[in-house]
Amino acid sequence: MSDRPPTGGVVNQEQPSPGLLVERGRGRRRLAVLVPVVAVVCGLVAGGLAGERAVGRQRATAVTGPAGGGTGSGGAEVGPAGVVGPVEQLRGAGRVLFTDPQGRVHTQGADGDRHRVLGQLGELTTRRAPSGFELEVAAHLLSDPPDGRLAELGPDADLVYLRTADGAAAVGRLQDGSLRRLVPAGWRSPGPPRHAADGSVLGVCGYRLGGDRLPAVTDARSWVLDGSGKRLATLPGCLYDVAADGASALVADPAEGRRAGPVPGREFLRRPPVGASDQLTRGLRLWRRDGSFHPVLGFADVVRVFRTVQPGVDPRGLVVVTAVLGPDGRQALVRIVDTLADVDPRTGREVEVLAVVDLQRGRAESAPEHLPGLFAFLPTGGWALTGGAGTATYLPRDRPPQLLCSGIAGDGVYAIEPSPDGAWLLLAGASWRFIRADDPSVQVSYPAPGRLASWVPEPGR
Amino acid sequence: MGRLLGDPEVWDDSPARPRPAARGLAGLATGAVAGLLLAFAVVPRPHPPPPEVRLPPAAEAPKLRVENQVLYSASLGGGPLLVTRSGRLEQVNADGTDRRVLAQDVRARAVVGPDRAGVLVALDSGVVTRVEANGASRQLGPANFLADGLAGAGRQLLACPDPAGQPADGGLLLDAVSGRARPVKLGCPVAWAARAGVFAGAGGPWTRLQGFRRAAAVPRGGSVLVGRPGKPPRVLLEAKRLRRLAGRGAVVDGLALSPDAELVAVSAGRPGGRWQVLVLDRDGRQVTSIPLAGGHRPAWIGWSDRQGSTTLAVAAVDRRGNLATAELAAREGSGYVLAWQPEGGSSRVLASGVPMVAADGFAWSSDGDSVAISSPAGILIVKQADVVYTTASPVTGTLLAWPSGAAP
Repeated sequence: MSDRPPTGGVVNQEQPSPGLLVERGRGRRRLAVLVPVVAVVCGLVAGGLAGERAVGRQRATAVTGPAGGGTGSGGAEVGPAGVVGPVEQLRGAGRVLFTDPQGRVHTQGADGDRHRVLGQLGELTTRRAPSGFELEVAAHLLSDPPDGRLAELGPDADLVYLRTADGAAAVGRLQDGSLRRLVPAGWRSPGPPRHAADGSVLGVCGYRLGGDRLPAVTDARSWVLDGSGKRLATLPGCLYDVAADGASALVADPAEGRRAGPVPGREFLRRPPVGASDQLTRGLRLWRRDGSFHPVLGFADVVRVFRTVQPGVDPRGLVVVTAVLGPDGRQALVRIVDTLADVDPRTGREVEVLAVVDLQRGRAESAPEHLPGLFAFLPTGGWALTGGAGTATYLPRDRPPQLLCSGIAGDGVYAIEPSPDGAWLLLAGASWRFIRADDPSVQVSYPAPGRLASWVPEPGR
Repeated sequence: MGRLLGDPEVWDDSPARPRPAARGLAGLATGAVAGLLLAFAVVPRPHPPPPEVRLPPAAEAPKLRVENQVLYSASLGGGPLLVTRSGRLEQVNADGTDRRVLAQDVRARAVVGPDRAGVLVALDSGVVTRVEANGASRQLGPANFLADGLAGAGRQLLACPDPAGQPADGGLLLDAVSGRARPVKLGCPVAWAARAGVFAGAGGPWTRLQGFRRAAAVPRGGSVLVGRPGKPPRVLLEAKRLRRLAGRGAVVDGLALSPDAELVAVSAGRPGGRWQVLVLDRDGRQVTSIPLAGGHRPAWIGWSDRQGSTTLAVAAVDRRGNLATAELAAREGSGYVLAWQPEGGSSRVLASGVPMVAADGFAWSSDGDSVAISSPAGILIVKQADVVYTTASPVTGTLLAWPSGAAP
């Protein structure tokens, strides 16, 4: 660029004289130099400031924290389909083992992660209920399993405890598909075998049905075996639970049966008839591995406890049908049933009661609840139960009861299972609802992936 | 070399026209880009700030459900609830509607009424107080009389004395209109048969016992008396028989008369021992005995007033250990409500567990179908039809009664 007038080129008629050109274009040309210079400087300043802002001020990252509530998945796209609640809090809470209708055993983290199929056992295939339902009713007066699980798996995810289709308690192995019946031929079991935590001791209740006119339990016997199947003891009456350490087992006390006399038979309007039996359980004792016994619940206590919910009950019909040992072996939860009641329990009087038994002192206290349902001890102490009002309640030790959830009457819940560390409780039904025992506002639920078998610790824990 | 396109004759060799605006804009852009790049290169990067954790709204602990159908049904048959809340006496429907303050500055522990005119009598901090429909109140009975219990129907009232500084058996029969008082030799607890004009109360021997109130021994009667106004009461259950039925050292802690006075319920036992509710007929014969769960003591016993039949409700609360002397509203323990029917002798558990934590008020509905239980967590309503229906209610406060009619 120059201020000199152009010296060459085409000159035409329309071109102004050179002197006039110089005068008219000088300011403009000066401006054309000055403006870009100023503009560059301004641009440098503006760009520099903008760059400094962009580089020097980083906005804090917004992270959605764990959802505390029962709604919303906390913004995290994790967990199984349909999950509701802070599923990430279940990470590391152990593995859940479950079965499917084809008899396959699955495992996954409680948070739904790391799913895999462990194996298949034909006996786990969902079948119709065994024939002879009316006979089964008589057996249910002897023993009623504590929950509705089809099978239970050991922490090694190999041992399977189940009841075969023909009614025998059995233990199987997933790895080799083997199955061993635990009752002699001709005997049936009311449920799967009970076992020590490591499977080193097994306990089985067996019964035989008979009766002249009405079906009745004519013989009840129990076997305690070690892990290899060797018999440790054969006991009269039914066995209800084996301690976690395998050192003891909760069994019927025949002396209390003799004291109470046989349960009379009866035809009922609302359920199948049952015959008289002197084999049903009227009291409990603790069998110890050294061969000794310790009485824990006498028939007088059974009657006393039942009268807290039914003062005028006929004691002749009271039997123990379920008993579960606490994790420390000091307590037991016992379900006592009035077998002579011919009422619809939903609309009629109370026909069963839960009792908490202090095994050392031999004292039993009732835990009154309308239509008591499922119950389970927690490893940390305390226990949980479901009731007729559609509630699940946690009863911690030395603290007031805590509502876990309400409105579960239609959820088809068949088991309450605590997590291995006792921090969570799983209500297993059509959906699985995990509830923090110490803070029930934290709940996670998702559609049930199968039928619950066990909730075991992570390998190596 | 190729040939240049165009006609050489029209080539314009003149210098480009200076365009200051265009050059300025270009310069500005160039400068901005250069400045930006320079800033990116030169400006030091700060440490990344800690991430901002946004917690979702705090989740609520699970609650008992409000079943509107059950609430509506209970409201239809039951009339309004009488509750005391923040020093006010209020009436409100079970579904929370039609709340009305009946009286201000009344800390009622028990009420009789209201009658058709809306007048009720309340036990207000030991003073028997008549509360008019317009909220005005006046004391009934002697000015120096402090009551610990109140029962009655219509204009007939029975007040039992607060034993502190007064004889334990210095009860008073009061006229709710005139306030005239006549002494009657019985003490707390007292009960009144709603439709029979019969009262009951505790009689001697009186034993001072620890374990009912914190750091205090309170007198409790060892027998049960029944009577009618105008006649001296008679012994229904004498002390020796009470001890035989309820155990050594048993005392009377609660009384309830069925509406027709045909049945008397007596809660009997001793702190630290086993408690039971004895049901006697009008002649004192034992109809049944309802043993309570270990460590539990009755907090309330009451008969429903249902035409043709009646049901006894027993609210038993855990009194083990530190819970023994705790006020009901501060008692962090479990309990249950059992309903027992004289016809057939059958019973059902109406409520248990969480709703009984700190439960401090209990009442039958006037139609005898439902029981309401108040606690700091709210009011629970249990309707026992064929099936037991349970619902939480939006009403808060301490429940005093569930009478049939609303005050006009």
